[in-house]
Amino acid sequence: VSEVVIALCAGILTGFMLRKKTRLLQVADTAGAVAVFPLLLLLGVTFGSNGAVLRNLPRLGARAALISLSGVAGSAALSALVYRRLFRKEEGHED
Amino acid sequence: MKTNLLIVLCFAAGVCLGRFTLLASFVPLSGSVTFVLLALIFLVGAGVGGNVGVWHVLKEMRLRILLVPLTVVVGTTAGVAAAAVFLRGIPFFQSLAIGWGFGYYSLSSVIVTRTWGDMLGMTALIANLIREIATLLLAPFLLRLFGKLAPIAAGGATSMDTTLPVISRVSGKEYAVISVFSGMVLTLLVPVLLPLLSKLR
Repeated sequence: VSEVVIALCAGILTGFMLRKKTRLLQVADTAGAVAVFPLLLLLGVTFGSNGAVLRNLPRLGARAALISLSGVAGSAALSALVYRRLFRKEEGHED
Repeated sequence: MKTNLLIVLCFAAGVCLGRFTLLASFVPLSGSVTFVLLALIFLVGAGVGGNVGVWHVLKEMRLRILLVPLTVVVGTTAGVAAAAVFLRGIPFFQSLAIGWGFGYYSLSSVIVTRTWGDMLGMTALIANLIREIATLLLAPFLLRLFGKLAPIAAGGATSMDTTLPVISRVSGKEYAVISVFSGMVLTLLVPVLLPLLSKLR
């Protein structure tokens, strides 16, 4: 089991035990939002110091767009099936 | 959207620092990234674990609601597999690692960078940012084409927060609960699925 999964499980357990302490959970929520900034800054430093990443940016960007948009298309298309079969009927009207 | 812009600016500042200064050779980067990453994952878990609403939703909607995040996982995998034809030079599992970020660009790009290196990490960052932006822009179009679950499915992990306002406006308020639930499950899946993929490389 990786350290990542341990951190996640410890977090869920802690959150569940503290579920009545909404104030504290709000602080944790804010801390999580703030942690993203140093994370992305450090990631930027890593990428910026790697010349190969910057040189290959157009190629990486094109790949990224292809992967991401095909993922979106696949998810949305499959969701149409689930929606028609399981969700639309219960709304009581066809649209 | 404002927060997003700030995050992108923060990242751009980092790139400049890395490019034009020698910071990268002085700061023990991988160590500090690991620490912040684990702290972030812990906090994400705490947010979900402490959310009483999640358990209520699961009880009320029963197992049917689990189909929504499952649809996103299967649909994304199918989409990436279809795109693999055009992705020569990059192994399928690595493309899948990028797709399985489900729009959660901060966490997924760090995990991908740690496992597969800078090039793939950068690709993961761009790809998952695009997923979020595409959902924000295409939500009305996806709704007309594929129905009310489509904007939620497109949003992936972001459907619990950043893309939620657009989703609830387009699909209707009654779909906001499903949207938050699906986004939460996917958010939790990212740090679980990516290490699994790394075993396959």
